[in-house]
Amino acid sequence: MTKGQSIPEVDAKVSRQRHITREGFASLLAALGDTPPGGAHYEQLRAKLIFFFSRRLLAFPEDLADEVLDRLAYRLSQHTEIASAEAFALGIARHVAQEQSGRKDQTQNVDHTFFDNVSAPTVTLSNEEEIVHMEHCLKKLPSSDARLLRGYYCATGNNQIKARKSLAETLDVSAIALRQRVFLARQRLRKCMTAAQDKNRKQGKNGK
Amino acid sequence: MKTDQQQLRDYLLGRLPEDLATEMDTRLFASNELNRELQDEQDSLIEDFVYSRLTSVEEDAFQAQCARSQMLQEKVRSFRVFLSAIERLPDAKPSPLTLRFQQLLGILSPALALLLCFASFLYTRELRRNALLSSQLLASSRTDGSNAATNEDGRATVVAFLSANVPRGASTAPEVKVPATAHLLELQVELQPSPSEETDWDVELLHDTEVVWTSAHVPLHRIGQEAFLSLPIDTGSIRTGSYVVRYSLHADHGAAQSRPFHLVK
Repeated sequence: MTKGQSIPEVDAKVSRQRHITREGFASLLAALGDTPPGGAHYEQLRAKLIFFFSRRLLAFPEDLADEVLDRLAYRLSQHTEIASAEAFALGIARHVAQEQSGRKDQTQNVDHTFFDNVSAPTVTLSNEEEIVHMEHCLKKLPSSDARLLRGYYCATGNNQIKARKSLAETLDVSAIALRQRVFLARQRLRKCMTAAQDKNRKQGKNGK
Repeated sequence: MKTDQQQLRDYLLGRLPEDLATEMDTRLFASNELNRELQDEQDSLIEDFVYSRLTSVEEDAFQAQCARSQMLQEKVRSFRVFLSAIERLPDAKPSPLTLRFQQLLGILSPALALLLCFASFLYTRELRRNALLSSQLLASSRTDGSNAATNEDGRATVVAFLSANVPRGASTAPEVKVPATAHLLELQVELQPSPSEETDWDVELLHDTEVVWTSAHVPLHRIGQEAFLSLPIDTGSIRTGSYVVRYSLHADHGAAQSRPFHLVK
Protein backbone atom coordinates (compact mmCIF):
# COMPACT_ATOMS: atom_id res chain seq x y z
CA MET A 1 0.00 0.00 0.00
CA THR A 2 1.34 3.38 -0.89
CA LYS A 3 0.92 6.64 0.85
CA GLY A 4 -1.29 7.94 -1.91
CA GLN A 5 -3.67 5.00 -1.52
CA SER A 6 -3.74 4.96 2.24
CA ILE A 7 -6.72 7.16 2.87
CA PRO A 8 -9.76 6.43 0.78
CA GLU A 9 -10.58 9.76 -0.65
CA VAL A 10 -14.16 9.26 -1.73
CA ASP A 11 -16.04 6.52 0.08
CA ALA A 12 -15.27 7.38 3.64
CA LYS A 13 -15.66 11.10 3.26
CA VAL A 14 -18.75 12.72 4.52
CA SER A 15 -21.36 12.89 1.86
CA ARG A 16 -22.75 16.32 2.21
CA GLN A 17 -24.24 19.14 0.32
CA ARG A 18 -22.32 22.36 0.60
CA HIS A 19 -24.65 25.08 1.76
CA ILE A 20 -22.06 27.74 2.35
CA THR A 21 -22.40 30.90 0.37
CA ARG A 22 -20.52 34.17 0.39
CA GLU A 23 -23.31 35.66 2.48
CA GLY A 24 -23.35 32.67 4.85
CA PHE A 25 -19.60 32.85 5.38
CA ALA A 26 -19.81 36.57 6.09
CA SER A 27 -22.61 35.90 8.60
CA LEU A 28 -20.48 33.23 10.26
CA LEU A 29 -17.48 35.54 10.61
CA ALA A 30 -19.74 38.28 11.98
CA ALA A 31 -21.32 35.88 14.49
CA LEU A 32 -17.87 34.82 15.69
CA GLY A 33 -16.77 38.45 15.98
CA ASP A 34 -14.22 38.11 13.19
CA THR A 35 -13.42 40.77 10.66
CA PRO A 36 -12.15 39.52 7.32
CA PRO A 37 -9.52 38.68 6.31
CA GLY A 38 -8.27 37.82 9.83
CA GLY A 39 -10.58 34.93 10.73
CA ALA A 40 -8.78 34.07 13.99
CA HIS A 41 -11.99 33.07 15.76
CA TYR A 42 -13.04 31.02 12.76
CA GLU A 43 -9.73 29.12 12.91
CA GLN A 44 -10.11 28.63 16.66
CA LEU A 45 -13.59 27.17 16.25
CA ARG A 46 -12.35 24.91 13.46
CA ALA A 47 -9.49 23.67 15.69
CA LYS A 48 -11.98 22.91 18.49
CA LEU A 49 -14.17 20.96 16.11
CA ILE A 50 -11.19 18.95 14.87
CA PHE A 51 -10.29 18.06 18.48
CA PHE A 52 -13.94 17.11 19.06
CA PHE A 53 -14.04 14.69 16.11
CA SER A 54 -10.52 13.38 16.64
CA ARG A 55 -11.18 12.30 20.19
CA ARG A 56 -14.22 10.37 18.91
CA LEU A 57 -11.84 8.54 16.59
CA LEU A 58 -13.82 9.61 13.54
CA ALA A 59 -12.17 9.65 10.17
CA PHE A 60 -11.36 12.93 8.46
CA PRO A 61 -11.96 15.23 11.43
CA GLU A 62 -10.98 18.25 9.31
CA ASP A 63 -13.73 17.50 6.79
CA LEU A 64 -16.26 16.95 9.58
CA ALA A 65 -15.26 20.27 11.13
CA ASP A 66 -15.82 21.98 7.77
CA GLU A 67 -19.19 20.27 7.52
CA VAL A 68 -20.22 21.75 10.88
CA LEU A 69 -19.02 25.20 9.83
CA ASP A 70 -20.95 24.92 6.57
CA ARG A 71 -24.15 24.00 8.38
CA LEU A 72 -23.64 26.75 10.92
CA ALA A 73 -23.07 29.32 8.19
CA TYR A 74 -26.18 28.13 6.41
CA ARG A 75 -28.30 28.49 9.55
CA LEU A 76 -26.91 31.97 10.11
CA SER A 77 -27.65 32.99 6.54
CA GLN A 78 -31.24 31.81 7.10
CA HIS A 79 -31.42 34.33 9.99
CA THR A 80 -31.83 31.64 12.62
CA GLU A 81 -31.58 33.27 16.03
CA ILE A 82 -28.40 31.97 17.60
CA ALA A 83 -27.27 33.16 21.04
CA SER A 84 -23.81 31.61 20.91
CA ALA A 85 -22.30 30.49 17.63
CA GLU A 86 -19.80 28.25 19.42
CA ALA A 87 -22.43 26.49 21.53
CA PHE A 88 -24.56 26.05 18.43
CA ALA A 89 -21.55 24.62 16.61
CA LEU A 90 -21.12 22.05 19.40
CA GLY A 91 -24.74 21.00 18.95
CA ILE A 92 -24.25 20.56 15.21
CA ALA A 93 -20.98 18.70 15.84
CA ARG A 94 -22.75 16.21 18.12
CA HIS A 95 -25.34 15.65 15.43
CA VAL A 96 -22.69 15.14 12.73
CA ALA A 97 -20.81 12.76 15.04
CA GLN A 98 -23.97 10.68 15.44
CA GLU A 99 -24.40 10.60 11.68
CA GLN A 100 -20.85 9.39 11.32
CA SER A 101 -20.91 6.81 14.08
CA GLY A 102 -22.24 4.25 11.64
CA ARG A 103 -19.12 4.68 9.57
CA LYS A 104 -16.74 4.34 12.51
CA ASP A 105 -16.16 0.67 12.01
CA GLN A 106 -15.21 0.99 8.42
CA THR A 107 -11.72 -0.04 7.53
CA GLN A 108 -9.05 2.57 8.05
CA ASN A 109 -6.00 2.15 5.91
CA VAL A 110 -2.84 3.11 7.71
CA ASP A 111 0.10 4.36 5.70
CA HIS A 112 2.87 2.29 7.25
CA THR A 113 5.59 4.06 5.32
CA PHE A 114 4.62 7.22 7.15
CA PHE A 115 5.74 5.69 10.43
CA ASP A 116 9.07 4.40 9.17
CA ASN A 117 12.02 5.85 11.07
CA VAL A 118 9.74 8.17 12.96
CA SER A 119 12.14 8.75 15.82
CA ALA A 120 14.88 10.07 13.58
CA PRO A 121 13.96 13.29 11.82
CA THR A 122 14.44 12.37 8.19
CA VAL A 123 15.34 15.01 5.68
CA THR A 124 14.30 14.29 2.16
CA LEU A 125 15.03 16.48 -0.79
CA SER A 126 11.42 17.71 -0.81
CA ASN A 127 11.72 18.74 2.81
CA GLU A 128 14.90 20.70 2.22
CA GLU A 129 13.12 23.75 0.88
CA GLU A 130 10.75 23.74 3.82
CA ILE A 131 13.65 23.45 6.26
CA VAL A 132 15.26 26.46 4.66
CA HIS A 133 11.97 28.38 5.05
CA MET A 134 11.78 27.28 8.67
CA GLU A 135 15.38 28.35 9.30
CA HIS A 136 14.57 31.71 7.76
CA CYS A 137 11.56 32.09 10.05
CA LEU A 138 13.61 31.04 13.07
CA LYS A 139 16.11 33.75 12.25
CA LYS A 140 13.30 36.28 11.93
CA LEU A 141 12.03 35.48 15.42
CA PRO A 142 13.27 37.59 18.34
CA SER A 143 16.65 36.15 19.34
CA SER A 144 15.26 35.26 22.78
CA ASP A 145 12.59 33.06 21.12
CA ALA A 146 15.13 31.31 18.89
CA ARG A 147 17.43 30.69 21.87
CA LEU A 148 14.48 29.41 23.90
CA LEU A 149 13.41 26.95 21.19
CA ARG A 150 16.93 25.76 20.65
CA GLY A 151 17.52 25.28 24.36
CA TYR A 152 14.19 23.51 24.75
CA TYR A 153 14.40 21.12 21.83
CA CYS A 154 18.05 20.47 21.07
CA ALA A 155 18.91 18.24 23.99
CA THR A 156 17.66 14.66 23.81
CA GLY A 157 16.98 11.76 26.17
CA ASN A 158 17.71 12.31 29.85
CA ASN A 159 19.72 15.37 28.92
CA GLN A 160 16.52 16.95 27.65
CA ILE A 161 14.86 16.77 31.06
CA LYS A 162 17.94 18.27 32.71
CA ALA A 163 18.31 20.90 30.01
CA ARG A 164 14.70 22.01 30.34
CA LYS A 165 14.93 22.15 34.11
CA SER A 166 18.09 24.19 33.81
CA LEU A 167 16.46 26.45 31.21
CA ALA A 168 13.50 27.10 33.52
CA GLU A 169 15.89 27.93 36.36
CA THR A 170 17.92 30.25 34.16
CA LEU A 171 14.78 32.08 33.07
CA ASP A 172 13.47 31.96 36.64
CA VAL A 173 10.13 30.48 35.58
CA SER A 174 8.21 27.31 36.42
CA ALA A 175 8.21 24.31 34.09
CA ILE A 176 4.62 25.14 33.09
CA ALA A 177 5.48 28.76 32.32
CA LEU A 178 8.43 27.55 30.27
CA ARG A 179 6.13 25.33 28.22
CA GLN A 180 3.79 28.24 27.67
CA ARG A 181 6.65 30.38 26.43
CA VAL A 182 7.76 27.64 24.08
CA PHE A 183 4.19 27.23 22.86
CA LEU A 184 3.90 30.95 22.12
CA ALA A 185 7.27 31.01 20.38
CA ARG A 186 6.17 28.13 18.18
CA GLN A 187 2.89 29.91 17.45
CA ARG A 188 4.91 32.88 16.16
CA LEU A 189 7.00 30.51 14.11
CA ARG A 190 3.88 28.89 12.63
CA LYS A 191 2.50 32.30 11.69
CA CYS A 192 5.73 33.09 9.89
CA MET A 193 5.64 29.75 8.07
CA THR A 194 2.00 30.22 7.09
CA ALA A 195 2.76 33.68 5.75
CA ALA A 196 5.72 32.30 3.77
CA GLN A 197 3.56 29.50 2.34
CA ASP A 198 0.81 31.97 1.37
CA LYS A 199 3.39 34.14 -0.33
CA ASN A 200 4.77 31.17 -2.27
CA ARG A 201 1.25 30.16 -3.26
CA LYS A 202 0.50 33.65 -4.57
CA GLN A 203 3.79 33.77 -6.46
CA GLY A 204 2.97 30.38 -7.95
CA LYS A 205 -0.42 31.64 -9.11
CA ASN A 206 1.09 34.77 -10.60
CA GLY A 207 3.70 32.64 -12.33
CA LYS A 208 0.95 30.74 -14.07
CA MET B 1 -9.50 25.86 35.23
CA LYS B 2 -6.31 23.96 34.48
CA THR B 3 -6.68 20.43 33.26
CA ASP B 4 -4.37 17.65 34.20
CA GLN B 5 -1.80 16.93 31.48
CA GLN B 6 -2.60 13.22 31.36
CA GLN B 7 -6.32 14.00 31.07
CA LEU B 8 -5.59 16.30 28.11
CA ARG B 9 -3.50 13.61 26.49
CA ASP B 10 -6.18 10.97 27.01
CA TYR B 11 -8.78 13.30 25.52
CA LEU B 12 -6.62 13.86 22.43
CA LEU B 13 -6.02 10.14 22.02
CA GLY B 14 -9.69 9.29 22.54
CA ARG B 15 -8.90 7.39 25.70
CA LEU B 16 -10.84 9.51 28.21
CA PRO B 17 -14.07 8.01 29.64
CA GLU B 18 -17.08 9.36 27.76
CA ASP B 19 -18.59 11.32 30.66
CA LEU B 20 -15.34 13.20 31.28
CA ALA B 21 -14.80 13.68 27.56
CA THR B 22 -18.31 15.11 27.13
CA GLU B 23 -17.69 17.52 29.99
CA MET B 24 -14.44 18.59 28.32
CA ASP B 25 -16.26 19.06 24.99
CA THR B 26 -18.57 21.55 26.68
CA ARG B 27 -15.65 23.42 28.27
CA LEU B 28 -13.77 23.40 25.00
CA PHE B 29 -16.55 25.22 23.19
CA ALA B 30 -17.23 27.60 26.07
CA SER B 31 -13.79 29.22 26.19
CA ASN B 32 -10.47 29.32 24.42
CA GLU B 33 -8.27 28.32 27.36
CA LEU B 34 -8.83 24.59 26.97
CA ASN B 35 -8.29 24.88 23.23
CA ARG B 36 -4.87 26.41 23.86
CA GLU B 37 -4.02 23.74 26.44
CA LEU B 38 -5.00 21.01 24.00
CA GLN B 39 -2.88 22.51 21.25
CA ASP B 40 0.07 22.70 23.64
CA GLU B 41 -0.46 19.10 24.72
CA GLN B 42 -0.76 17.98 21.11
CA ASP B 43 2.66 19.56 20.41
CA SER B 44 4.03 17.63 23.35
CA LEU B 45 2.39 14.43 22.14
CA ILE B 46 3.91 14.84 18.68
CA GLU B 47 7.33 15.45 20.20
CA ASP B 48 7.06 12.32 22.37
CA PHE B 49 5.92 10.35 19.34
CA VAL B 50 8.84 11.54 17.21
CA TYR B 51 11.31 10.72 20.00
CA SER B 52 9.58 7.33 20.69
CA ARG B 53 8.71 8.30 24.23
CA LEU B 54 5.08 7.20 24.11
CA THR B 55 3.89 4.03 25.80
CA SER B 56 2.89 1.32 23.38
CA VAL B 57 -0.82 1.98 24.07
CA GLU B 58 -0.38 5.70 23.46
CA GLU B 59 1.68 5.08 20.37
CA ASP B 60 -0.97 2.80 18.85
CA ALA B 61 -3.66 5.34 19.60
CA PHE B 62 -1.58 8.15 18.14
CA GLN B 63 -0.83 6.20 14.97
CA ALA B 64 -4.53 5.49 14.57
CA GLN B 65 -5.23 9.24 14.98
CA CYS B 66 -2.61 10.04 12.36
CA ALA B 67 -4.16 7.60 9.96
CA ARG B 68 -7.49 9.40 10.26
CA SER B 69 -6.19 12.93 10.10
CA GLN B 70 -4.11 14.43 7.34
CA MET B 71 -3.69 17.50 9.49
CA LEU B 72 -2.04 15.49 12.26
CA GLN B 73 0.25 13.83 9.71
CA GLU B 74 1.18 17.28 8.49
CA LYS B 75 1.89 18.42 12.06
CA VAL B 76 4.22 15.46 12.65
CA ARG B 77 6.05 16.15 9.40
CA SER B 78 6.26 19.83 10.22
CA PHE B 79 7.75 19.06 13.64
CA ARG B 80 10.50 16.99 12.01
CA VAL B 81 11.24 19.89 9.71
CA PHE B 82 11.30 22.19 12.73
CA LEU B 83 13.82 19.94 14.53
CA SER B 84 16.06 19.83 11.47
CA ALA B 85 15.92 23.60 11.12
CA ILE B 86 16.59 24.29 14.77
CA GLU B 87 19.59 21.97 14.79
CA ARG B 88 21.07 24.01 11.98
CA LEU B 89 20.74 27.23 13.90
CA PRO B 90 24.13 28.52 15.05
CA ASP B 91 24.77 27.83 18.71
CA ALA B 92 24.21 31.05 20.59
CA LYS B 93 26.11 29.77 23.62
CA PRO B 94 29.17 31.91 24.35
CA SER B 95 32.56 30.18 24.43
CA PRO B 96 34.13 29.41 27.84
CA LEU B 97 36.79 32.04 27.11
CA THR B 98 34.13 34.68 26.46
CA LEU B 99 32.33 33.61 29.63
CA ARG B 100 35.54 33.94 31.65
CA PHE B 101 36.19 37.35 30.15
CA GLN B 102 32.61 38.41 30.97
CA GLN B 103 33.04 37.20 34.56
CA LEU B 104 36.33 39.08 34.87
CA LEU B 105 34.73 42.17 33.42
CA GLY B 106 31.88 41.80 35.89
CA ILE B 107 34.31 41.80 38.79
CA LEU B 108 36.48 44.59 37.44
CA SER B 109 33.75 46.87 36.20
CA PRO B 110 33.02 48.57 39.59
CA ALA B 111 36.76 49.27 40.00
CA LEU B 112 37.00 50.56 36.43
CA ALA B 113 33.97 52.77 36.98
CA LEU B 114 35.54 54.19 40.15
CA LEU B 115 38.82 54.82 38.32
CA LEU B 116 36.97 56.53 35.50
CA CYS B 117 35.12 58.76 37.99
CA PHE B 118 38.41 59.74 39.65
CA ALA B 119 40.08 60.48 36.31
CA SER B 120 37.06 62.55 35.26
CA PHE B 121 37.27 64.50 38.52
CA LEU B 122 40.99 65.24 38.00
CA TYR B 123 40.41 66.23 34.40
CA THR B 124 37.53 68.56 35.30
CA ARG B 125 39.55 70.13 38.08
CA GLU B 126 42.46 70.72 35.73
CA LEU B 127 40.12 72.26 33.16
CA ARG B 128 38.75 74.63 35.76
CA ARG B 129 42.25 75.60 36.89
CA ASN B 130 43.29 76.28 33.30
CA ALA B 131 40.17 78.35 32.72
CA LEU B 132 40.88 80.37 35.88
CA LEU B 133 44.49 80.91 34.89
CA SER B 134 43.47 81.97 31.39
CA SER B 135 40.98 84.49 32.75
CA GLN B 136 43.64 85.89 35.13
CA LEU B 137 46.13 86.22 32.31
CA LEU B 138 43.54 87.88 30.12
CA ALA B 139 42.69 90.35 32.89
CA SER B 140 46.39 91.04 33.44
CA SER B 141 47.02 91.62 29.74
CA ARG B 142 44.10 94.04 29.62
CA THR B 143 45.60 96.01 32.54
CA ASP B 144 49.25 96.11 31.52
CA GLY B 145 49.09 96.02 27.80
CA SER B 146 49.79 92.97 25.74
CA ASN B 147 52.83 92.27 23.62
CA ALA B 148 50.99 93.55 20.62
CA ALA B 149 47.89 95.62 21.13
CA THR B 150 46.03 98.33 19.32
CA ASN B 151 45.53 101.71 20.89
CA GLU B 152 42.33 103.66 20.80
CA ASP B 153 43.72 105.80 17.95
CA GLY B 154 44.33 102.62 15.99
CA ARG B 155 48.11 102.57 16.42
CA ALA B 156 49.65 99.19 17.19
CA THR B 157 51.80 99.03 20.29
CA VAL B 158 54.41 96.43 21.10
CA VAL B 159 55.55 95.85 24.66
CA ALA B 160 59.02 94.60 25.56
CA PHE B 161 60.03 93.79 29.10
CA LEU B 162 63.71 93.91 30.07
CA SER B 163 63.99 91.75 33.15
CA ALA B 164 66.62 92.47 35.80
CA ASN B 165 66.74 88.84 36.92
CA VAL B 166 68.72 87.60 33.95
CA PRO B 167 72.39 88.57 34.26
CA ARG B 168 73.76 89.11 30.78
CA GLY B 169 77.02 90.19 29.29
CA ALA B 170 77.30 92.59 26.38
CA SER B 171 77.36 89.76 23.87
CA THR B 172 74.17 88.22 25.19
CA ALA B 173 71.99 91.31 25.16
CA PRO B 174 68.28 90.44 24.86
CA GLU B 175 66.66 90.88 21.49
CA VAL B 176 63.54 92.96 21.04
CA LYS B 177 61.60 92.34 17.86
CA VAL B 178 59.41 95.13 16.61
CA PRO B 179 56.90 94.16 13.94
CA ALA B 180 56.55 96.47 10.95
CA THR B 181 52.94 97.20 11.91
CA ALA B 182 53.91 98.55 15.34
CA HIS B 183 54.05 102.32 15.66
CA LEU B 184 54.86 102.43 19.34
CA LEU B 185 57.31 100.42 21.43
CA GLU B 186 56.62 100.41 25.13
CA LEU B 187 59.90 99.38 26.67
CA GLN B 188 59.53 98.25 30.27
CA VAL B 189 62.80 98.22 32.22
CA GLU B 190 62.71 96.34 35.49
CA LEU B 191 64.55 97.89 38.42
CA GLN B 192 66.25 95.76 41.02
CA PRO B 193 66.42 96.08 43.88
CA SER B 194 62.98 97.58 43.83
CA PRO B 195 63.23 101.25 44.84
CA SER B 196 61.34 102.25 47.93
CA GLU B 197 60.68 105.81 46.84
CA GLU B 198 58.18 106.80 44.22
CA THR B 199 60.38 109.37 42.52
CA ASP B 200 60.89 110.21 38.86
CA TRP B 201 63.79 108.85 36.86
CA ASP B 202 66.09 110.31 34.22
CA VAL B 203 66.17 107.93 31.29
CA GLU B 204 68.06 107.94 28.00
CA LEU B 205 67.94 105.51 25.13
CA LEU B 206 71.24 105.37 23.30
CA HIS B 207 71.97 103.89 19.88
CA ASP B 208 75.76 103.60 19.96
CA THR B 209 76.51 107.00 21.42
CA GLU B 210 73.53 108.77 19.89
CA VAL B 211 70.66 109.61 22.21
CA VAL B 212 67.49 108.62 20.39
CA TRP B 213 65.07 109.13 23.23
CA THR B 214 65.29 110.90 26.59
CA SER B 215 63.10 111.93 29.50
CA ALA B 216 63.83 113.40 32.92
CA HIS B 217 60.53 112.51 34.45
CA VAL B 218 59.87 108.86 33.87
CA PRO B 219 57.63 107.63 36.69
CA LEU B 220 58.13 104.36 38.48
CA HIS B 221 55.48 101.71 37.88
CA ARG B 222 54.75 98.82 40.23
CA ILE B 223 52.89 95.55 39.72
CA GLY B 224 53.10 93.48 42.86
CA GLN B 225 56.75 93.24 43.89
CA GLU B 226 58.03 94.31 40.49
CA ALA B 227 59.03 97.91 39.80
CA PHE B 228 59.78 99.11 36.31
CA LEU B 229 60.14 102.13 34.12
CA SER B 230 58.00 102.46 31.04
CA LEU B 231 59.47 104.13 27.96
CA PRO B 232 57.01 104.94 25.15
CA ILE B 233 59.17 105.08 22.02
CA ASP B 234 58.01 105.98 18.55
CA THR B 235 59.20 103.15 16.32
CA GLY B 236 59.82 105.63 13.52
CA SER B 237 62.75 107.04 15.46
CA ILE B 238 64.55 103.74 15.93
CA ARG B 239 66.04 101.14 13.63
CA THR B 240 67.65 97.73 13.92
CA GLY B 241 70.75 97.76 16.05
CA SER B 242 72.21 97.70 19.57
CA TYR B 243 70.74 99.99 22.16
CA VAL B 244 71.37 100.82 25.79
CA VAL B 245 68.87 102.17 28.24
CA ARG B 246 70.61 104.38 30.80
CA TYR B 247 68.64 105.45 33.85
CA SER B 248 69.25 107.18 37.17
CA LEU B 249 67.19 108.78 39.91
CA HIS B 250 66.21 112.28 38.89
CA ALA B 251 67.52 113.68 42.19
CA ASP B 252 70.73 111.64 42.16
CA HIS B 253 72.77 112.83 39.19
CA GLY B 254 75.62 110.63 38.13
CA ALA B 255 74.89 107.13 39.57
CA ALA B 256 73.35 105.77 36.40
CA GLN B 257 72.59 102.17 35.55
CA SER B 258 72.29 100.76 32.06
CA ARG B 259 70.53 97.89 30.33
CA PRO B 260 71.64 96.86 26.82
CA PHE B 261 69.39 95.19 24.26
CA HIS B 262 69.37 94.48 20.54
CA LEU B 263 66.48 95.76 18.51
CA VAL B 264 65.27 94.06 15.34
CA LYS B 265 62.73 95.71 13.09
